[in-house]
Amino acid sequence: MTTAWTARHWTWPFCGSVCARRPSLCLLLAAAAVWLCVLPKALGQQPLSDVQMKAAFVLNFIRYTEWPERSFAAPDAPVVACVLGDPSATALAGIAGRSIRGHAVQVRAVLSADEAHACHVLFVPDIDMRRFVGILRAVQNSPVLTVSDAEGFIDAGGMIGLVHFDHRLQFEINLGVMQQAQLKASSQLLRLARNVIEARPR
Amino acid sequence: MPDSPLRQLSLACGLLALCGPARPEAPQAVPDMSLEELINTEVVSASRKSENLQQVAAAVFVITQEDIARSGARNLPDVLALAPGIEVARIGNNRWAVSARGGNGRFANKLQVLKDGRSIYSPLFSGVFWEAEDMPLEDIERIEVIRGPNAAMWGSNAVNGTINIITRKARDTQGALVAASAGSEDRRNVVARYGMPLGDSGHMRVYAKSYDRRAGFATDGSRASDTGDSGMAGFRADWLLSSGNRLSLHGEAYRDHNGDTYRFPDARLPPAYVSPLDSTMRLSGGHLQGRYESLRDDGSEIVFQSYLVQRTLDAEHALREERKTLDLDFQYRLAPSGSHDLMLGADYRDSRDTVGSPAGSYVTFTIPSRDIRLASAFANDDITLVPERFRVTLGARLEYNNLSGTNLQPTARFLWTPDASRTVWGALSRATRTPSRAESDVSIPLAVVPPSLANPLPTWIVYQNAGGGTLKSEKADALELGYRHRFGQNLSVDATAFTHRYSDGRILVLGQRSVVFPFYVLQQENTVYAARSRVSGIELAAFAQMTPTWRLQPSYTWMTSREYGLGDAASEAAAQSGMRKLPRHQLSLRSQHNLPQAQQLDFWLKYKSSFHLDSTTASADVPGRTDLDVRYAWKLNRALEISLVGQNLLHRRAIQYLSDQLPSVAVETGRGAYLRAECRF
Repeated sequence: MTTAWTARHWTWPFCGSVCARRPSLCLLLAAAAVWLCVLPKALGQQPLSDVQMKAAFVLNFIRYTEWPERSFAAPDAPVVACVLGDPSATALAGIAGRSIRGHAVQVRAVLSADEAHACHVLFVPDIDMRRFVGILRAVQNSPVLTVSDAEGFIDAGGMIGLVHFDHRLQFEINLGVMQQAQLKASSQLLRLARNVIEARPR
Repeated sequence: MPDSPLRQLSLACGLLALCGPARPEAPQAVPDMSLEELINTEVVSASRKSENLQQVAAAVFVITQEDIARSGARNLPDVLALAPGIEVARIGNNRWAVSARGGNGRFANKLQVLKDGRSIYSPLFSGVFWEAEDMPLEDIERIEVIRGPNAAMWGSNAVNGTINIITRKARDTQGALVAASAGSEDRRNVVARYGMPLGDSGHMRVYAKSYDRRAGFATDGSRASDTGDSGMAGFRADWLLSSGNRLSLHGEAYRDHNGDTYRFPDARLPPAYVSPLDSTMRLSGGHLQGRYESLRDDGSEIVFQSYLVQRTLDAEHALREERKTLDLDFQYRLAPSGSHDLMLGADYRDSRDTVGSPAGSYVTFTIPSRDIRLASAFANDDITLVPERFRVTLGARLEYNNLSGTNLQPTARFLWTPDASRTVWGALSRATRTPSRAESDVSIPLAVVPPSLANPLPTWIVYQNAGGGTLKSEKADALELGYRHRFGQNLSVDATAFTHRYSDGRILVLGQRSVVFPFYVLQQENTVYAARSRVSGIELAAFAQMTPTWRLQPSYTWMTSREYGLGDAASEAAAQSGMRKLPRHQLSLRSQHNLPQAQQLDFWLKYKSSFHLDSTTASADVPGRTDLDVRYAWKLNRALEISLVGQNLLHRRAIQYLSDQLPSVAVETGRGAYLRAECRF
C-alpha cells in the first residue's frame, strides 16, 4: 500500500500521466533526462579547436613552401605572417614567435595591398573574403603565400584554401597562382593536398 | 550588462542553468603537428557546425554529408528528417509528405525546394514529386534547411520553409565510388560515380543511381501495390576559367515507375461507390543547367544561371502531363561599401504544359494546355549598424505570375550578437503561395454521399473550379524570434519561436447542383480564397559532443494551429471542432558513437504525436508513433566500408500518412533492414 502510494505520488505528475498513456514517450523523456545529467561532463573536455588546427596548418604551409631568395633580407630574417583585418580572431595569432627553418615567425595585421606586399604569408579570414578580393589579386605577382578558410578561395585567386571535408580539415592548392608568384610548393605539400588545380591568375 | 532578458530566455530552455555562463575564450596554444597528422585529425566540435550559422538571422539548420552518411537514410526525403522542425512522413514505401511548420501533404505546397539553385517545386499540384527527385546522396555537400518564410531571397512558395540542396564540386568527387545495398524493403539500391579532370582547370563527374523498393503493407498485412523502381544518370562539370570566374554545367535524365491503387468515388457504381483501380505512375525526364559566377576585384559578384527541365508524368487511369520549363536567373551582389551589403536579382520562368486524360479517366483538365509565366525582381540589403554586434536585413521580392497577378513579399530581420557565443535574431516577413495548375483547371471526384430519405439519389461531389474562377495567392505573415548559444567547443543550443498567420487560403464551397436522372445528383465544389488560420510553435535543437567519440543531437518541436470560420454556421463549427490537424509534439534524438577500429554505432529515435489528417480525399486519425533506426558501420580500409542498418524497428508496420489530392489507398510502412557496401578507388 505504502509502496503504491509512493510510486504514484513521487513521480513527477506530468511524467506519471504520460508514462501511463504512452510508455514509449516516457522512455524518450527518460533518455532526455539522462542526457541532461551527463551534459556537464561533456563541457569539461576541450578538443583542439578549429582555430588551433588552422594555425598548425599555416605553420606547415610555411615549412613546405620555398620563397625566392630575394624575399628575405638575411638568411635568419623573420617570416612575416600577415592577417587582413584583426589577427586575434583568426588562426594566426598563436604562431608568433615560432621558428621555422631558422626564421622566426612575426605576425602582423595589414589592411592594404601596399602593406601586404611586404608579407611572406597573407591570411584572409573567411568572413571578410569579399572585402579583400582586390588586395588578394594585387599581390598575385609578388611572392606572398595567400591562405584562407573561405569557401572557394582557390577559385577566387588564392593559393591555399582550407576546407572541411569528411569531418576533417583539408587543404587545396592553386598551383597556377603559386607559380606565377615564384613560390615553390614542396612535393610533400602537393602530395597531401586534397586538390591541386592549375588555373591561371588573371 | 544588458543581457538579462537573454539569460531568462535560455533559462527557460532549461539548459543554461546546468551549463553556466559561457567562459571567455582563452588564447589557444598552437599544436606542433605534421601535415599528415593534421589532415587525419577528426574535427569534432559543435562550434564548427554552428560557426557560420551564428551570423544568420533565420531558423537555419545544415545537414552535412556526415549527417547523411550516418543517418542510414537511402532517399532524399528521408534525409530531410535530420533537420529539426521538418516533418517527413512516408505515404507507404514510395511516396512522401514533407513540410515544416504544418501544412503537410503529399504535395505540401508551402515548401520551396532547390537543387543547386534549381527549383523542383511542381506547379501541377503545387508541391514536390519526391518519388522522382531522388539523387545520389553521396554527392551532396550539404543541405541548408531554412524554416519560415523568406521569399525575398528564395522566391514564391518559400512560405513555411526552404530546402537548399548543394552538391559537391566536381573536383571533390574525383576517382570512383560504388555503393550497393540490398535489404528487405529497399531491395536494391546502387550508386556509381566516377570523377576525372578536364584539362588544367576543369573537373567532371558522371554518376548513376538505381533502386528497387518493395511495396508497403495494406491494412490486412499483405503487400500493397506501391512498388517502386527508379534509375537516373547525370553529370556535373566545373571549370575555373580564370581567378574568380567559374562555369558549371549539370545535366541529368531519370525515369521512375511506382505502383498505386486509386479509390476514386463514383456514384454510378453500386453502394460503397468505389472500385479500386490498380495504376502505375511513370515519371521520366531530365534537365540541363548552366551557372556562371564571377567574383570581381572590388568584391562585387555576378551570378547568371539558366536551366531547362522536361518531364513527362503518366499516371494510369488519372492523367498524363508533359511539362517544359525554362528558367533564367540573374543576381548581382554589389561591392561591399560602408555598412551595406546589397544584393539585387531578377528571375524569369516559363513553364508550358499539356495535360491530357485517358478515356474514362476520373481526372480531367478543363484547359488542356497552359503557359505559366513568372517574373520577379528582388533586393536584399544587409546593414551593419554596430560592427560585429548588430545587423539589420531588409529585403523584398516583387513577383508577377499570370495565374494570380502581382505580389509583394517583404522581410525585415535583425541579428544581435552580444558576444561571439550568443546570437539573438528576429524576423517579420510576408510570403505567398502561387496557385497550382490543378486548383485552377482540374475536375476530380471527391466523394459520394449515399442516398437518404431526404435525398433518394446518391450525391456525387466533384471538384471543378467552374470557369476557372479568380485565382488568388495564399498569403502568410510570420513573426519569428530565435536564440542560439554556443557553450565552448562541445555544446550548442538553438531555439526558435514562431507564429504564422495565413490568409486567402483555399477553401472548397458548394457550387452548381444538377440531377443526372435517374442515377445521381452531381454536386460541384469550387475554390474560394477565404480560409484564415494560424500556426504557432517552438523549435529546439542541440548539438553535444559528449566525449571525443560520442555525439548526441536532440531536437524537439511543439506546434499548435487554429482555424477561423468564414462567418457561416458550418465553417464556424468546423473551425471550432478543435481537431488537431498537425502533430503537436515531434522529438528526435540522434546518437553517434565512434568505436575502435573505425567502427560506428548510431541510433536515431523519433517520436511524433497523434494528429487528424484531413484533406480533400482522405480523413483519418493518425496515432502517435515512436520509432528507432540503428546503424552499424565498419570501415575495413581506405577503400571499403560495410554497414548494416535497421529502420522503423519498433513497429512491424504502421501507418504514417495518407495521400491527398490523388485518392490512393492507405499504405503502411514496415520494419526494414539492409546491408550496404561502399567502395572507393
